[in-house]
Amino acid sequence: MKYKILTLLITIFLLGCGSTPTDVKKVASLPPIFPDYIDVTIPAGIAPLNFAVVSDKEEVQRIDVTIKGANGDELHANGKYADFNIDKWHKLTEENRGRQLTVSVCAKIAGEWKQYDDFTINVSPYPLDEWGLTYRRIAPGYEVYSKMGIYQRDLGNFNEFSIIENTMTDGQCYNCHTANRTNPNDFVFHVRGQHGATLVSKNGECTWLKAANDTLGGSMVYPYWHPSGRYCAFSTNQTRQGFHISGPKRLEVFDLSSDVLVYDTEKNEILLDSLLNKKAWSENTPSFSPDGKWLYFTTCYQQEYPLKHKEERYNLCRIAFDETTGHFGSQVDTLFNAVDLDKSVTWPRPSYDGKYILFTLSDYGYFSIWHKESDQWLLNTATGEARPAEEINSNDADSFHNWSDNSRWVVFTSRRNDGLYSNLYLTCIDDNGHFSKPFLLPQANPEEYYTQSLYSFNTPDFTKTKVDFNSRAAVEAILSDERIPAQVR
Amino acid sequence: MLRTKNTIIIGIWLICCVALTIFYATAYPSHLLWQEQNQIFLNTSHWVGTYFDKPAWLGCLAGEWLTQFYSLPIAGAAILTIAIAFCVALFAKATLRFLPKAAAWSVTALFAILLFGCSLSSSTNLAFFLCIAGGLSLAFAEMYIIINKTRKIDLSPVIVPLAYWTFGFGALITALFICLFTFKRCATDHSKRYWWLTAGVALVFAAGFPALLCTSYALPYAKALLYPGLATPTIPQTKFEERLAIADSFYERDYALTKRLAMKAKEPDDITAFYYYLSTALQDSLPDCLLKYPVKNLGTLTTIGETTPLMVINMMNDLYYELGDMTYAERAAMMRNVFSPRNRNARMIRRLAEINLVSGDTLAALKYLRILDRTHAYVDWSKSHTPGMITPAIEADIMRRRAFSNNKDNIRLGDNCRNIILELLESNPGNTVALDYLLCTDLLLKDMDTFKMDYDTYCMSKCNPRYKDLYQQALMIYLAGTDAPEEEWNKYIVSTPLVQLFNRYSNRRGDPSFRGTYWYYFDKQ
Repeated sequence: MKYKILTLLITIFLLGCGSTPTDVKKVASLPPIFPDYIDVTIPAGIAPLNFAVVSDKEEVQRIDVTIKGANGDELHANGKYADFNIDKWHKLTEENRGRQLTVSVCAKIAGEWKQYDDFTINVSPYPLDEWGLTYRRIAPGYEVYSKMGIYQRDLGNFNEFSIIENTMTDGQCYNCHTANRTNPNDFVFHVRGQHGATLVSKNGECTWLKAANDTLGGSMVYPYWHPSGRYCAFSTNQTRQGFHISGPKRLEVFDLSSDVLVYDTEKNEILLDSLLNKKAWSENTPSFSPDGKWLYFTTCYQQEYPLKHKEERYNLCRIAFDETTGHFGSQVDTLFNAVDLDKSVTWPRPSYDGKYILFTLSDYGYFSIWHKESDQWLLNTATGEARPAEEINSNDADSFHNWSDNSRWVVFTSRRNDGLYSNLYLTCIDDNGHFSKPFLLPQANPEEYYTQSLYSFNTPDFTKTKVDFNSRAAVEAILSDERIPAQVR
Repeated sequence: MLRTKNTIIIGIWLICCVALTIFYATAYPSHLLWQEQNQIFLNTSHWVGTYFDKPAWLGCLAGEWLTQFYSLPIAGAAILTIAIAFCVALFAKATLRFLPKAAAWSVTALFAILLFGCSLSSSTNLAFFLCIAGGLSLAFAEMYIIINKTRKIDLSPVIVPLAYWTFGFGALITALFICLFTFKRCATDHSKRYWWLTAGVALVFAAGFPALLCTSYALPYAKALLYPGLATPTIPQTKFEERLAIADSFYERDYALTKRLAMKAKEPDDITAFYYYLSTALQDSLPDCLLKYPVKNLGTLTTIGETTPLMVINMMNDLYYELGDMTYAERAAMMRNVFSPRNRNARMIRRLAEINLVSGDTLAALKYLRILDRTHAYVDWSKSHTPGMITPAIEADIMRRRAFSNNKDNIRLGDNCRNIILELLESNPGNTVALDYLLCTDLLLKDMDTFKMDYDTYCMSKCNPRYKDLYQQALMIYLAGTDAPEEEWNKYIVSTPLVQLFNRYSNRRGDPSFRGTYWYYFDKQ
């Protein structure tokens, strides 16, 4: 008898909770979901696009979501937020590759179920073959670093792994983990500060280079690999930062000087060229063309800082590079004249199929993440024409980016969510060079994750496989201060 | 007889607990609030999940969850007392198992004093005590096997790693007590010498488990072994408590209390002076009070960096926020967060929301307000500051501050406060707090040329002379020193009695009866 009463009470309680939609009222609008996954394009096999219905005015008590594939398969989620089963999600996206998923959302708000207009999620026909992403996560503490590190994230689920964290070395700053065309066997990263170094790792063999070289006039800062894996280009930024007194911008980063060099990993030699080391000019943010024959870089006429910081504007240029001799060409071509537009180019990243160069354009300077006006631009290498990638740009900073190995996917940083902390977005490019609506990197509970995070994601890149890195040995090497000086040619 | 003894022990125990609670509640409330402010606990599953990223998840989770209630009166004192009492009770119970009573009670008393000493340090958090309690509790679990049971199953390979996972360095305590219990067992029963193996296993696991996991926890071995960190016993930090109380009253915007507490400070220093002057400035009386406080520190010559004490970063945050420089107020708040555990400081998250409301960056303000929404202590504050729900009084305060903020964009390379104040005055000459800070800094430096130049630029040329006795006295020094003609005197000096007093002082320079005038300060201090 006692159990019967208990069962009855539980049943009444569950019915009272109203977990399934009843007496649903139709609402003629799209659901206010976070993250905004409405009409985005995703690769098959990506982690589930969990989301929440958000309302600033009233509490959203529960949501009920059904996703239907084109072949009639369904996926259902019911709870405080849409939390999809990973395996079923993968199956659904794989089965609907190149087709659309239709998402129906009901939300219980103030005790009343509402059903919003359905929306779609496009499953791209193009695969994203990479295992995941690498990125740095850091609190924007400006001058000091509490907890920061380089991490890797499995794109098929929500698992994140640290590659190295500065809690292991008492507050070092780790900078720009860069792999060679998403291959984690070859990568570099730079350690700033007291135990500064540049790590060049090739097939698991680590070389710790001296962070700064007097001949260079700076450190090896922003890297990019030559497709052969033999060379790696760096800029030597002597970075300073200042604070905007007012206005929407907060920080400004500029270089007292910067040149571009190429490091030969086989000969432990630094290759310099007078065209990349002009005294009155700052050369910056280098990258190689996918055939390895061109070195792209940005260059600006050195200004008087901080007085004329707004006149620091970079053009996108290129110089020929011969990988057999390590020699540079004798002339510099301007690929995109941003100065003529009163703009400045930064972070040129050629697609690996050679069709495009994606870069960031802002009003001035190169540290675009602190520039709300910064946008992504796409240069067609065949025509030489560049256009703003309006389909992926926002009103806030859209900045650093990298391509997937098949040149179909791009990961980039954006501050569109809160204007202050950068997050990662992914987008797909079609045969016509048109990007799909980008989607925020999925998290298990994205609303809680992104609301509570006080960290910025930066320098993201794809990685073919999980990075296998012995962080303990790396920490010992960092703290040992044993460094190899590179020879300058 | 035994019952009477137990009653006495419990009685003493309760008296000690009540005394301790009263002590924390009355002599250490600001320390407890400091603990509460130096973290933030979010009531979300995601937040709770983040505790598993490091060892001692249970100790840290329970510690930070309980610490959020420190903002309630008495609650912090009671929680801390209970935590210490629990540790001591467990310790006593454990030592009584292998030590003679007198020795056990003596050791327990020393242990209690040690814990009390640790609790007096501002850097000791509640997780420290909970990890000790957790380590002792798990030691008890093993003890019942070693002493009371004759089971041959050795659970230390499970218990010690469990202790490390849940209570960090508490595993060392678990292992230590397992060894002590083992010693006791072997001493009383020589046939059970294999129990020594248990002790060995416990020690190896206590030292080895952190070594095994430190890479995945991204910690160096020493930090991993002692996570979340040990505490250092100290004597009562009454001076620091006094300073924290002053800062807290300022935080609550009770400027009259701030002034009163600063005046009452037994040993006035840069911190008490700083808050005294900032309170007076906000009450439009900085020039009237500048010479009344024994220590002179406006904070305008302080810069912040990697080694700046946390309290000073808080002070700089308060200074720039009140002056109207949201850029540097935000910078100080960000830096203070960086120096807080898990990059979060409740006071600074609140301040960051305020800063962004003042600077009109609603999106950024909402970022912080949504974090505060998920707390127990700040949810109401967050609601009252959320755009669309802001009360008229808060709205008025935001608008007043916005009017005093910088509106000219430029790049600033260092935290030279003089430049910051000049920029603020260029944006809004009516910012009297900034003006008084500028002029008073000049006067404290006895830089009369700069003072006169600043006074001319921001008072005379704006047709807005500031007739404060301090400035009048300083101007007289300048005018007399430069043999200014009478019309210059008439232009600047409006107080005839002050002129007469100045004439009298001129004949008796350095006379202590003129103490309190700027003339005396200029000549003698």
